[in-house]
Amino acid sequence: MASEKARAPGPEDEVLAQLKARFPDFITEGRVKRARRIEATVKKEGLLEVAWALLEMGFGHCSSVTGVDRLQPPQMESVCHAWSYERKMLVSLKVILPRDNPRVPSLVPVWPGAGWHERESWDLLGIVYEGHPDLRRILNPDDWRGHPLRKDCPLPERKQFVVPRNYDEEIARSITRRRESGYTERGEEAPPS
Amino acid sequence: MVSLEALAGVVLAPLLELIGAVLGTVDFLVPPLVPLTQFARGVLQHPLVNGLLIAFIEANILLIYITLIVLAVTWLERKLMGRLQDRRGPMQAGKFGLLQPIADMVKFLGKEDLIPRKADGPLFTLAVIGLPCIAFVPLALIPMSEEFVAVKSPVALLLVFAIFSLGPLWVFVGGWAANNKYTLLGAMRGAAQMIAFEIPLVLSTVGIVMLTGSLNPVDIVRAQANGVWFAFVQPLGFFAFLVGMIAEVERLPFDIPEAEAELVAGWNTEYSGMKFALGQFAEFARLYVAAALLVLLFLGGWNGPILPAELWFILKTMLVLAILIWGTRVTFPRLRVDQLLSVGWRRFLPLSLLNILLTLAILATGWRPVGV
Amino acid sequence: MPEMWINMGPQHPATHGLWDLRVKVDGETVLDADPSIGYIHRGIEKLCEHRTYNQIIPLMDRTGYVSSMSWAIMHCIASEEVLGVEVPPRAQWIRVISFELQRIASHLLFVSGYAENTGLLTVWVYATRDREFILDLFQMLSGARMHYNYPRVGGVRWDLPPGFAEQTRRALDHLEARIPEYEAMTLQSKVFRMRSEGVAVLRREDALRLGVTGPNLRASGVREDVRLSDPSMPYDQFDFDVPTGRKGDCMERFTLRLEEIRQSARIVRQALESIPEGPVMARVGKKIVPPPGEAYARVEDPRGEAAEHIISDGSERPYRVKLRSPVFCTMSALPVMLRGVKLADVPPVMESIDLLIGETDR
Repeated sequence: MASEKARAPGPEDEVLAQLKARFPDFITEGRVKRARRIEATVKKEGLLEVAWALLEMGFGHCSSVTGVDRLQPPQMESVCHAWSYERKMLVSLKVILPRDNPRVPSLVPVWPGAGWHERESWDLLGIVYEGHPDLRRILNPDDWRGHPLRKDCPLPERKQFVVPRNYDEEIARSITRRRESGYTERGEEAPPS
Repeated sequence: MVSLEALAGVVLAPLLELIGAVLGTVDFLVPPLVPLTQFARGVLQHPLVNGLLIAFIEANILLIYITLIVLAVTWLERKLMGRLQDRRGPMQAGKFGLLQPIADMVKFLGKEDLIPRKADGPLFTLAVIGLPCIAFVPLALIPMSEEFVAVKSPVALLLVFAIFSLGPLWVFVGGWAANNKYTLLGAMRGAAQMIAFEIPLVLSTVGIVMLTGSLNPVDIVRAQANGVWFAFVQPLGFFAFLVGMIAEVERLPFDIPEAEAELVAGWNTEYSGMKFALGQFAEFARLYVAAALLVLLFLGGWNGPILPAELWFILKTMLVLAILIWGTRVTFPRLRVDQLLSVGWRRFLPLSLLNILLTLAILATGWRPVGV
Repeated sequence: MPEMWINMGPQHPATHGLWDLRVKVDGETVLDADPSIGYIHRGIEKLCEHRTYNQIIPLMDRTGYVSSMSWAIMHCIASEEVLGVEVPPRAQWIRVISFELQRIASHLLFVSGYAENTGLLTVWVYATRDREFILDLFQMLSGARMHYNYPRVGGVRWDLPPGFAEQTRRALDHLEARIPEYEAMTLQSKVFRMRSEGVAVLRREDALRLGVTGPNLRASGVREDVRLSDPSMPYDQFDFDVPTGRKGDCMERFTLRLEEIRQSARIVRQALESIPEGPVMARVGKKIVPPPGEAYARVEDPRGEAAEHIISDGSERPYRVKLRSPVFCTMSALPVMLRGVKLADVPPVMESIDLLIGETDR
């Protein structure tokens, strides 16, 4: 946990410099956050090329692919973390997408291990990964509507449950009410009122 | 030594007396019915009816006996497995959990009897009736001592094997009728396993038949009366029979037809309540029959000092069962089906054939290991 | 028999959790597999957005309920990076101790689960029983046996209880005497070897390609351990081996975890010897409000690389939390491993990657 200021330039800076030199058009922003952590913001068009280049440089392990839903300013970020077993450092590739129709090329051709992460990201955030071989919902049911991790996803209202003083009576009354309303359990016949 | 027939006669005599008393009372109270009661007396004294009654009582004695044995074996298995696995086994029902099998029975009786909607209902029920029947019939042929046997047949051994190997047929019927993929796979495995191990099992006993020249278990046990058990005379046959037997009764290293890890409960996945209990019952009855055969063929049968013959037989059988639980149930993982078949066909079939050849060679030299 | 799909789950004795593995079989041979998860998806990532940093810790316990400690510690490490605090050394040491004890407990559960799925019920009971000793230690440490709620952002909740070191040493002595017993019942058993050797081989390149991590990756021959390569705890202070296999079959995955239990015990012993004195909490306020920023913390969970991507917007609740579950990624490699094995091998193979559905579904 070395702090940011005290860090001397290391191999991380070299990797970042290489990347920047190779893709001056695609990498809009890049910095070495701390030892073993590199952050880069990539344009959508260049994501696959940068990813292929990273794979060549030894970043063979896709640790995770995820998305971040930003409201201020309204944008969607797709973040991919790639780890290199040889260099022992992690590159975060961030792609900024429009919030209303986020589409980004899939990283499955580069890192097949990203497949399920992208499915999850599509399921929870609605980011479409173009070229993904099997972009189905994964955690939610197939017929789920909406994407629950989005910030504007409607939440169920939180209700404070207060135990009423005459709890048992309340329960008994609610059961009677339910019976009277014709509610049946296990398909049994509704009691003749 | 107790004769089963005598035992049945002892039970029958008071029964007949009771019936006679009832008939006498009827004669006294309703004189016009006298010809009818006379006819009934005549029927009862007919040797055929008498024989049937004796047979019926013998069957009931055997049924009660096997029920007790099954209860004892289930208790023994749970207790022994509990001890070996550092658990306590059943504790709550009765002293040492002795009433646990009865509690189990009551629980099974209380369960709902389900038939899956898409199953073949009659066949589904028939399978679980047929299986215990098939498991019980060999009991009639298995002697517990020279006299304690229901059916004295010179080819009893052959008959026992023939009936015994019908078991997997019912397993297959039940697994097929349930219309479930797990039961179907379990049933298929059961059939494959039966074919793979039936042949070595039967062939491994051929050596003994050659030595004694008889298919009658009574003769075979008599041949071991001098204390030389066939387990020592025929070690290869003994080993092949032991393994084949465990495979036939589908115990743990070979219990792939009901492998609970992948097939839920194998062929009896869909059975519930009493039907499931009947299936389990048949399984334990088969286990007992197999252990009894092992004792008869290889472990000297009822021969033993001091104690009565029947007691020796039960003791030996229970010991075999306990060793089976200890030696296989808690020690081994389950084999895979292809490995099981390969073991059956490629190891045990040649082994039992080799045993026959060796026996033949020994017999050809004219040397007799036993006093036959 | 024609080809057919068999559902192994969601209600199946072999799944060890609520998930569904559909396998396509031709007779007994598996042709294809399709894992389907999400049955216990609780939306933990969404819940995290509505909890303060310390309130998330109990949630993390429930994410990976068999290795609660490692998930909670991972969250604390990520939060500390965002917050920018240094954890005092004594707290670091306590974390290492509890982390490695958690690894032992988790691996023991693996041993028992794997043995059960091969039909070896005795080892199942033995390993579960010995896991109790570790759980007793955790009860001593945190008061709970499963959901500890013990680490805190900036340290740990309280110091080691008196007598903990002796108790731990005794438990480890007992455990190390037990491992040869397991080995005698598994590695030296012919039937067990027949069932495990050469089954469901995960080749090195496949493992790397598909994002498999942790013991499963090491069993395939890659010597990689997040504890050493991306350290967030003082593991460089301890002397231990990273067991690495070659073949990548079920047997390798099993033996490797048995060896890891030994190594973890080694680490715990050293940590108990060398634990420094001092406070167990850094100076963080009661209300934790980190500056805006991101952190990606990785730890070596008993099941592989667990990671948390945490984004702070400067409020007292995280803006976004992404949990990277090791089993989630390993499970996506399951179809590759299952193709061609026999149906009877499916439960052991499922268990050999050490499943934990709580963290796959989150």
